[in-house]
Amino acid sequence: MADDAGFAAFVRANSGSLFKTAYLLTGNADRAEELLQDTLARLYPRWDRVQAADTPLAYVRRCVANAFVNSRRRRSTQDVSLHCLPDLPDEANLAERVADRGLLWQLLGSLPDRQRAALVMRYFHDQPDAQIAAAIGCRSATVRSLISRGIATMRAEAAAAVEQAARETSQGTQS
Amino acid sequence: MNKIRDFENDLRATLADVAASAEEPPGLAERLVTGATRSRTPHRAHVWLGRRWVPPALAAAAVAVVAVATVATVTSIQADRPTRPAHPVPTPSATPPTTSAAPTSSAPATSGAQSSAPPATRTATDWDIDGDGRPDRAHVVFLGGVGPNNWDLVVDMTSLGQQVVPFTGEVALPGSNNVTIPGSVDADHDGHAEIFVMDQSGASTQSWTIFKLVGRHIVHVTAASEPVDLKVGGSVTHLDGFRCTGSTLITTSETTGPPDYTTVSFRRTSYAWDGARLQQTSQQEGTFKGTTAAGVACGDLPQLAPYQPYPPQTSTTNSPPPAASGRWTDSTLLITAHSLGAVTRGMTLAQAKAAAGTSLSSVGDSIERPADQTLTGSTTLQFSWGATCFDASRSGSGPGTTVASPAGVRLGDPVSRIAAAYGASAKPFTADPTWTGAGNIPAGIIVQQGDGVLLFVGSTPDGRGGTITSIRGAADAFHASSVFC
Repeated sequence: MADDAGFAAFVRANSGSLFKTAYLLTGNADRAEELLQDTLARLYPRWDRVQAADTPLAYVRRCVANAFVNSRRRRSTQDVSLHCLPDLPDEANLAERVADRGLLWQLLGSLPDRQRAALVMRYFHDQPDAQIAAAIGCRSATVRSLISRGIATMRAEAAAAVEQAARETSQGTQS
Repeated sequence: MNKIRDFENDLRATLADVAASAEEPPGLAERLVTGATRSRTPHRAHVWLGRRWVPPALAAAAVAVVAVATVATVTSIQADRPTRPAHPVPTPSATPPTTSAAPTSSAPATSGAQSSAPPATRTATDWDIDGDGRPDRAHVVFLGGVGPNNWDLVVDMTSLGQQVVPFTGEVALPGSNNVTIPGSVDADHDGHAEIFVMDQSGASTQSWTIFKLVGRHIVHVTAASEPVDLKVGGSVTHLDGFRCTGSTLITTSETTGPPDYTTVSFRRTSYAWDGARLQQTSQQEGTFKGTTAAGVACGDLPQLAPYQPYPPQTSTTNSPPPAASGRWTDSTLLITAHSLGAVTRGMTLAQAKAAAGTSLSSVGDSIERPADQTLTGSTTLQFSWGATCFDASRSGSGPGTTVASPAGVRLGDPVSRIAAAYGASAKPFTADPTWTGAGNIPAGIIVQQGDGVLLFVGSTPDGRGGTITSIRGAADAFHASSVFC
């Protein structure tokens, strides 16, 4: 039997924090809320297990990441929408995006789901490999590989974008 | 390896920035509870957006709510905070106002200390005040009287034992909850969670202050040499709040008024963390059309109101950091094309020494620096003979004098901040290859400032990436025939 009061109190106290995690994973407020609702609806019937965890919030966070990876995996086979694709960088204001870290955010959004989830868990939640592995359903070695590849991809893309911005600025100066 | 660490730090900061902007939509908690307990589809209609990766500012704007209504929920939010069964539970409220509960010591002291706090390598979890990975506890005790130091903050740390720090707060009345601990989060990402204490609570506005571990001691964080005072909340005509973005803390104050209450004047002040001090680096003022929406956005601290990015039509002006003595012994200095602190272009050496407030020594090629280099820590300040060129450089990662441009770009900031502050006027700069004389003219990013220039040098080989390691000001472009320093 679920502890309604305990569940409600937990959600009220932690919805803000969980929303941030979901937002970082999905990049969109609506999807973030949808992800949280899916996750909590699945956890509610076995809330006693959540409460028995060492750190319930961390447990729920891992479930959110797991639901994100799995739901996206399912969706990718049936629901391909252009609206879901990351926007391409707008060359006109690329330099400004570099400036306000928007570019990194954009690049993060272009990574495969598991890489993105691993990076968010590592660099926002400071989770160790084992915890990330448990969250996204893989081995620790795979987590290290996901993070390494994600970082390498983002660095290469960021360097290319900065170079392009510098070239454009230079051309603008000359003309 | 360092480049990878820089990138990782940038990514960490990006995620922190985005998370700080991603405010919880109004009513989310209730929708989640209802959706899960009734096992039905979510109440909220799902809206597909054309842009999946919406810039965080726009996304946060989309969830803005009427701030007054949100502020009114402060009490219930705090009252509803559940305990976390597996954690030692910090006391988020004031101890009953009885002096008998007061600890024996009112001075910062340690008891049962086992070892020094571990070095900070990552952001601490909430309530991990000593940074050892385990949650700590804190509570406040009313000692009686109106102050000063009529309260104690008692902090129980797993690695450093108990410490007690006195502070001044509102008089506790029976049954009141006007001095509490809203939370403990690692606001500056130094690996130790800061303790946020509400020390006053009025009809509409609260005052919060901050304590943090520095070395092995809990100390009161200061701004302008006074205990930091963060205003939170408001009413129909004003609203205050703050947000944490990595190494920066930004306070926001908004006011509005009749006839239509839709023109909001705001002031945003940015502070850089410097140990137990918050150094003001810039201030922005302006107006926008809309509703006041300042609030708290700082880790897991109670979200009293959402942080709302101001709309594009916002009119703003940037103010330079606060006027100070300009002496090179100050902890914060302003660098311009024509000055570094109070040392300005054209001064004689004697005048420059007097303005710098410290003795100077020549390091060759007519470059003058403070004779006592320990004054400025890891920051090096220097100017060329005749004060034609000023240079502030950062070497190492230890504490040093904070040096900022008039737009608030500081030594140690990511190079990307330059474009954010100066826009298209920031241009790539290539060192003059014809220069064969003394001195050093590096590549970087140059910004025209009136009849002078500022040159920012990044940590990457081309000087245009990484973090800012040097800021130079001069009257003319940096080329062989004009200037070196």
